[in-house]
Amino acid sequence: MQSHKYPYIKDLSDKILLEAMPYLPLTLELNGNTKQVFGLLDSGSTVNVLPYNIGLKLGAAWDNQNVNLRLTGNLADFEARALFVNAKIEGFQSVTLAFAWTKSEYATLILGQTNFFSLFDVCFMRQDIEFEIKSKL
Amino acid sequence: MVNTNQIHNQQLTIEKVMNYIEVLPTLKALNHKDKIRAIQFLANEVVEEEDSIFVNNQEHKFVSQTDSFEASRMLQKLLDEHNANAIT
Repeated sequence: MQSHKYPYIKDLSDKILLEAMPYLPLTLELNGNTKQVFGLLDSGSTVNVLPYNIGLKLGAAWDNQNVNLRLTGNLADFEARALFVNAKIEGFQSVTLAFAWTKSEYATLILGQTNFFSLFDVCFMRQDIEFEIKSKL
Repeated sequence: MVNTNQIHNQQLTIEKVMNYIEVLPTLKALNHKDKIRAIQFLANEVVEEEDSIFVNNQEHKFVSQTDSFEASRMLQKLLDEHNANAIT
């Protein structure tokens, strides 16, 4: 089984966090368009969440996504639609991630139970400020 | 005649930022209710300085999608269909 350790990070390129958090660097791909992103590993989240602007940068067209989803919490007031995106994590084979693509620009890219945690086992080692992911494939 | 020195000194006084030692006697002299108000005011000030994570008098919703079970079930259904189509 492939596995890899990553450090908790503060610097997400476009913003600096107050504390280091388990953000996983990965490359998203859709129809030949790629975008490097950081996804927050959130075992408490039921779904993966993709912010609106990242979907647009991947070339996704909002009106072409015809499955509406209802999100909760701070995204309850925004429309969301299902979007499948290929994801490449260094050292692992590409996988398909099913995202709830939210119309919110300010959402965090979340990697949640459906379906990131179906594809990878994740071990958080907070005291060492690192986490480990293992592919289930 | 306007005393420009006086005006200048007043401006300096207004612009001068008091430090903790200077403000302490004033805080100590406050009554109980005003001390609580001061604590609340300072707590809000600190939070606002730290990137406005919380906003006063607003409901705060979770970023994490802890209760989006309906969305989760729908995504899983689509994934199952996607995987079934990939096999056939």
